[in-house]
Amino acid sequence: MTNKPSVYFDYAATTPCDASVLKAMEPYWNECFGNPHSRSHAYGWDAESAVERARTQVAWAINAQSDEVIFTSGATEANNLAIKGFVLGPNMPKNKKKILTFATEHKCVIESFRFLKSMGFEVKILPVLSNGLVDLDMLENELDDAAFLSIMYINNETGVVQDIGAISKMCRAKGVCLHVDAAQAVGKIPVNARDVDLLSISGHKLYGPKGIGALFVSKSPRVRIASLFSGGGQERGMRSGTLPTVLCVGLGAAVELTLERMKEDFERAQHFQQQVIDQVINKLPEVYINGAIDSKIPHILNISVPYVEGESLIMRMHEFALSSGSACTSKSLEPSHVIRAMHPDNEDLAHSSLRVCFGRQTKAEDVDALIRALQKHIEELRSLSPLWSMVQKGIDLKTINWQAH
Amino acid sequence: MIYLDSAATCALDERSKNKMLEVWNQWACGKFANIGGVYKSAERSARYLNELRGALKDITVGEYVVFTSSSSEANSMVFNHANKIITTCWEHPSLTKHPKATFVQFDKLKDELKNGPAVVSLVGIHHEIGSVRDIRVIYDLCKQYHSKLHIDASQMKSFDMQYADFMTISSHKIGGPIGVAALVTKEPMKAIIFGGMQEDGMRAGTNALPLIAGFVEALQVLKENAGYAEQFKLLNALLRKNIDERYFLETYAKDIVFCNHIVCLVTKFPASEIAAFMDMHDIAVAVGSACTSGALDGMKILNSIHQLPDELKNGVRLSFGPNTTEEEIIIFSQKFNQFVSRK
Amino acid sequence: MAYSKEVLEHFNNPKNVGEMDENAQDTGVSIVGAPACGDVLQFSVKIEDDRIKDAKFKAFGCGSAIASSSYLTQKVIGKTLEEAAQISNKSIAQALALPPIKWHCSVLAQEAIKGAIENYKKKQA
Repeated sequence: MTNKPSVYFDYAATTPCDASVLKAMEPYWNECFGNPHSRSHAYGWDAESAVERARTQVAWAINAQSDEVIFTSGATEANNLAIKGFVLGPNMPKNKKKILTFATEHKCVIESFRFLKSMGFEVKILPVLSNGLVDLDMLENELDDAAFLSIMYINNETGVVQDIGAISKMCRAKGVCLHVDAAQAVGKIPVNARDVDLLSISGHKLYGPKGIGALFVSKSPRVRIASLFSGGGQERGMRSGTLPTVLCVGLGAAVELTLERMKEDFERAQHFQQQVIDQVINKLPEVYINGAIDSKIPHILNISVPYVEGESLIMRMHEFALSSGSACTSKSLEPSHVIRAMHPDNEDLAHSSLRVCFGRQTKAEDVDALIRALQKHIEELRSLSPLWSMVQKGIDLKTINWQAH
Repeated sequence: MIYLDSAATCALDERSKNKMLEVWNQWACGKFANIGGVYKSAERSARYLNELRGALKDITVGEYVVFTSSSSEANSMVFNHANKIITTCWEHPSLTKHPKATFVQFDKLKDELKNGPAVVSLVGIHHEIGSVRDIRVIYDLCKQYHSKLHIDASQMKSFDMQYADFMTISSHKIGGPIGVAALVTKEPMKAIIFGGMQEDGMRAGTNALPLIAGFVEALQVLKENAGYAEQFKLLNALLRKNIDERYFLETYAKDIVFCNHIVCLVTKFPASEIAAFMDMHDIAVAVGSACTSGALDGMKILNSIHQLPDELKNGVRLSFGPNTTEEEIIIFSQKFNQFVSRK
Repeated sequence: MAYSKEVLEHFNNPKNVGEMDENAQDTGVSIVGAPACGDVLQFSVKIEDDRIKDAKFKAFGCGSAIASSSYLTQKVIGKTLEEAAQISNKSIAQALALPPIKWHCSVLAQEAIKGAIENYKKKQA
C-alpha cells in the first residue's frame, strides 16, 4: 500500500477543519476566558467577547438565544449531558419513569439510556421502519406516559432525516421533554431549536475543530439539567471546566461558514449522489439504498450490496476512505446496529453495507473514480461469492439450513 | 504587558501550537483521519494516538491514560469511580463540590482513614497560595489504611505516579491547549461519558487528536526544561531580594512548604485597589482577600489557620511561566513597592 | 486492518475461484458459515486416485476469509485425502500471518476442507 492519503469519502465520521476556521482561531490561541493575559491581537476582542460572539453564532444558526447555548467537548458529551442531565435532574417529572429512544441512535445515546435503566428508569428502545424512519403512530402511543425522548435528527450511517416537526408537536402536546442529536444536521438542513428542549451539536462534523461541541438547553420553555462534572460551575453551573476559547471561536466560525455553504454543499452532494445512484445502484443488479430515499440528505449514502461482504469491498477499494456496517469493520465485531434495526430479519444486509459520504472537498474526478471502482469490485467480488452464484441459479437463500459457527 | 498569572493559564507553547496546526493541516490533506475508520489514514491516526499515549505513560510512569476534555472532567471521573472520597477545604472547586466527598482538616486525615478505605483527593501544589504537599508521606499513609491517593497535579511541573494512584494533569497549565487534560491511573476507570469504545471504553467521544498532540508536546517541552525549576528558583530569589519579607505570605506560615513558581504577597490595601493599580501598569496578577470570597479563597483558608495580622489580609498572587523574565520581576517589584509605600 | 502481503496477494488475486458439480462422483463439495455471521465459504475438490486433483472455492466474507480459502485451494491440490484433512487452521493462520481477531477465518477454511472431504467420502459409500 502506498503512502498516498486515501481519497476521502468518510465525512460523516469526521470532517477536516476548514482553513478559514483555523484562520479565525489564529488570534485566540493564547486567550483564556476570564484571563486578560494577551491584550494585543488583530480583532481587539478579549477572550470573553470572543467566546460570547461564538456562542451567539451557534445560537443564531439554530434559532436560539445565546444564553441557551453551552459549550461542551463534543456531541458525545452533549448527548450524555442532555440525557443523564435531564433524567437525573430537577425537571424530570416525579411520577413518570418511562424514557424513550430508538434502536438506530448513536452508541453514546444508547449507552446513556442503558445506564439510566440500571438506575431504575423504565427504558424503551423503540424500533424503526425498514427505511429508517420512525413510525409516528407508534411513537404517539408510546409518548403517553413518557417523560423524555431522545432522537437523532439525521442518522450518521444512513443520512435518514426524521420528521422533527411532527415529533416535536407530539412531544409538546404530551409534555414529553425532547432531546435531538443534531450532530449531522446543523449545516446540512435548517435546524430550529425552538421545536425542541435540548439539542446537541458537534464541531468536527461541520468542518470545525475536534474537541468542541455545544448543547442547546431551552429557556422558554425552561429546561433544567443536572451537570455531569463537578467543578467551577462554568456554563451557568451546567458544565464545569475552563472554556477553550480558541475552540469555541472555531466552532462559531465553522457554524457560520457552514450555514453560508449549506445550499452549495447540498447541491453538490445531491449531484454526486445522483451519479452513484444512476451508475451503480440503478445499473448493477441488486444494489440498494439503505434508508428512505425521499427523506434523507444526499451527503450520506448507505448502500447494501447483497452477497458481498462489506470489509472485502472496502479492502478492494483501499484507495478510498469509506466505512461499512459489516462486523469485520467494527472493533466490537458487531455488525451495524443501525442497519440491523432497519432490517431485523435480514442481518446479512448489515454485513453487506457500505457508507459513502460527499463533502466540501469531494471532487468530480474522485466520484468518477469511486463509481468505476464500485462497478469493478462489486462485479468481481460477486463472481467470488457462493451466495451470488446460488441466487443466480434461482436458489432461495432463506431455505438453506446454514451451519453457523 | 507583564504576565504573572500562569497559574490561571499558561501561554501556549510555540512548539505545542505548531504541533496542533501540523496535525490539523495533515488532516486537511487526508494524512490523518478518524480513528474508528478502517482505511490507512485512520490507522495512521490510531498509531499516532498510541504513540502519544505511550509518551505520556513514559513521562508519568503510569499504567493507564485517559484523555479527557478538562481537569474538571478528569477529577469528576475519579469521584465517580471511588466509593468514598476524603478531601479538604483547601482543594480546587472541582474537587470540593462533589456530593460523595467527606471534608476533613488536613491533620485529621489519618483519623478519617481509620473509618475505612477511601480515595483521598488532594491538589499537589495549591493553586492559590503555592503550598506543596508531601505526596510521599500522604501516599504511605493511604497505603497503611488500604486507601488510594488522587493528586490533582494541575500546578505541578513534574509528574510521577510513584506516589499516586490517580493523577490529573491539566494541559493549559503547562503550556498546552485548553480543551484537553489527562487522568493517569494504575487501574482501569469507570466511565462517566458513555458511547463508543474510545479510550478503551473509559471515555467516549471522538479523540481530539490535534489537542492531544499539542498537550503531549507541551509536556515534552516541560520535561526537556526540567520543569523550569532553576529558572523559577532564580525568579523567586530575585523577588525576595527586591521585596521585603513582611509582604510574603510565607513569612506567616513557616510550617508550610511553598513552591517557587506561585508566590502570595500580602498587604493591607483592598484587593480592588491592588487590581486597579496593577491593571494601570499593565501587569496581570491575581488578587484576593482573606475576608471575602473571590479569586483567592486560599487566603481565606490560610487565614483561618494561621491568623494573618489584620493589616495583611489582602493578597496578590504571582505565578511564573516559562516566559517570565528577570526584568519583569524587577519591574513588578518596583511597582509593588511603590504601591505599598504610598499611603 | 493492516493485512500481510500474503493475505493481500490472495485477496487481490484469488486463486482457483469457481465451483464444481456437487452431483459428480469424483467431487466433494461443502458450504460452511452463514450469511448472518458475515462469512460463507464454499469449497470443492476433485479427487482422482485418492488425491486431490483440483480444488475451487467461492467466498462471501472479509479479506481474511477470501485469502484463507484461496490459500487453502493451493495447499490441498496434490495432497491425499488424509494429508488434506490434517491441515490445521493454525498452519493457515501462520502462513497468512493472520491477526488473532481473524483466526476464525482460518478455522472456517479448515471446516470447509474437512466438509468437502466428508462429502466426497459419503458419495463413495
